[in-house]
Amino acid sequence: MAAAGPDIRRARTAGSRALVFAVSLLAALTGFMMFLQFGAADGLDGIDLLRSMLILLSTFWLAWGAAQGLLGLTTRAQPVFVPSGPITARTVVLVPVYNEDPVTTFARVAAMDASVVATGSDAVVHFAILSDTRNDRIAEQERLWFLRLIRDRRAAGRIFYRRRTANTGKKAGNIEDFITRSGAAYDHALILDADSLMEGETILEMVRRMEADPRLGLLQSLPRVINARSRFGRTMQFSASFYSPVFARGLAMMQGRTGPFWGHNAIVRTRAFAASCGLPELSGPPPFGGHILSHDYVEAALLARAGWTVRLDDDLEGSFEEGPENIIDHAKRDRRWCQGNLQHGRLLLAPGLKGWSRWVFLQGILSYVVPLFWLAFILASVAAQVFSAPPDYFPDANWPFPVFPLDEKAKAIGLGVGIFGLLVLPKLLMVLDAIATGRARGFGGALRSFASATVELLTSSIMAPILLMFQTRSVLQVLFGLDGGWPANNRGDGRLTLMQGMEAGGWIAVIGAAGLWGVYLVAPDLVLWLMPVALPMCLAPVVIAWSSRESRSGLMVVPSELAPSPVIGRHEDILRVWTGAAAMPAPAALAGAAAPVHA
Amino acid sequence: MNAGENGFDSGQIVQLVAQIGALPDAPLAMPKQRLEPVGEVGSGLISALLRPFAARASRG
Repeated sequence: MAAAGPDIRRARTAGSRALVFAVSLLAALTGFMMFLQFGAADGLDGIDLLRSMLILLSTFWLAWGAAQGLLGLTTRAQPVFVPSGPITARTVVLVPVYNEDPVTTFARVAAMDASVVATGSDAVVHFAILSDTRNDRIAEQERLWFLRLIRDRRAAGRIFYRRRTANTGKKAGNIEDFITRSGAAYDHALILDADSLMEGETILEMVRRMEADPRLGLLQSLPRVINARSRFGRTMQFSASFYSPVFARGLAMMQGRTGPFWGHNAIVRTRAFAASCGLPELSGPPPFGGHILSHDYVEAALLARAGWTVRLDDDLEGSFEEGPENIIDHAKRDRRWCQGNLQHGRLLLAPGLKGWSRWVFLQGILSYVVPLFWLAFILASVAAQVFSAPPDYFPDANWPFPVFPLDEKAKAIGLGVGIFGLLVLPKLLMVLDAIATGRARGFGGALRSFASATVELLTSSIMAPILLMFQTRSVLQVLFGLDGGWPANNRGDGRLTLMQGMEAGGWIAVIGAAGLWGVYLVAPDLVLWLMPVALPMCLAPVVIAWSSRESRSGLMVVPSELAPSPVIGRHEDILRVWTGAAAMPAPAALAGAAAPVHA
Repeated sequence: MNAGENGFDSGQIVQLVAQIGALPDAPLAMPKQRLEPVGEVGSGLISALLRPFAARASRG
């Protein structure tokens, strides 16, 4: 990455984009033509054309993801070499919180601060906890634990805390509030989420990379999911740890200077961010108007518009986050993202944006709309079966022998196999690549990696129809003007009872059972084909509850468990002390918070 | 854990935290950016597409 000149980098970026686009288009057109031939066998009608169009769009989207993954397999993470001299820049680590558990969150700050200090660097790295908490009881706890944090870390003047009286603009407004009050005190701001954790060495490395490239406006790391315990959480954790780095490498090859911002675990150049990323309120009411909900994509686009480089460095280790532990929490987060991404429809033609930024907006929208295309395809296929005319074996009145329609079922089966291949082939190749390169050792070895990947494939296949229904509901809610608001993330063990599964997923089971019964009545031939989708839907409450239970299998092991990063251990140690007996000393003792040791 | 159990009232805690936790006073301007494609080609199309949904939202 660092060795290639700008012309070579530009050519590589353009080549990667063209290749992935061409492969996706070819796959989509092939699927379209195959389905058209299948539909034309008994006479082409409107439903056939509709289904072929849905196949075209859905296959393009699937192929785009698959091609990005395959592109990622063609290269390895390239370390970016930067001078290792002393750091003169001042950096602040921003930790926005919103009704989070203060003990766990502030223990993360303590762990990261300790990790920075342990590097022995003289670099100025401050922490600012930016509370948007609305619950007064939690806010009171935040203040007490802040005093504890200051005392334990002897961090007065290094770790700050403020609570906003009004949470205007949500997380983006919270960050903006900090920048407009205190931004000039720092060269760089590392933006985290409440559940983010980062090694001190990684923080300093990110600062060095910002210093080495004065045009770099934002540097995004690839956070690994940690601390998952449930079956759902561990499946997501394994998937994020095993597959995401490869997909991210493919993305990194295509992004050029217009990389992504995922809202956390990324560092920004404070003055560039302030000058370029003041977000306006969009005209009209939510969900399409009002505050920009998915602000991160927009901020990345605005930095690129202003000429700054936005980069994802997938070689950076020591960057972590936590994920949802059950399907309901995942769906709640997804509802927020769905509204934010669909809102980007308003910005597709925003003035001056780079073409790639517009494409990123469109991809975000497609990621929520394409599942509806699949659903529409299923419904259209049932309709086609119901409304299709019986075959006419004697189309010519003057011809005495029957004419049998062409049997093009092989094309439909071939298409199905091709679509399944697009889903499975990249993952299979990633498993083989991990085994060949030794990366599988971090996941418990070749056999265990293969078994974990197989179980992940099965589990995600069972959960996919349920997530599809939640996504469909989210998109319809947004399109019908329902604002999802800003629900706090549930962090914790997330175990759900069958009754809770029923409350959250009963409607999916009803739709699945009613749909299956309806299809049995009107098109019994399709029942078997629909089972992979309909059966998990019918069992949604059971799947939701079952997947929220603690995983006890030895599979889905990830590197952060086999060789935990030191900051994870620090966080656990601090948490153990803080949640132990007599965890909280009297505020009178906390009042004498120590003088700074790391200015 | 609550503040009263330790002999401090919550007002004193708020004051203490405000004092120790105060952010540096170093303002930086963050001008609002122009994002809506007013007058740009195609903006009419997007607005027209979203108008029914926005209207529904304002009623809801």
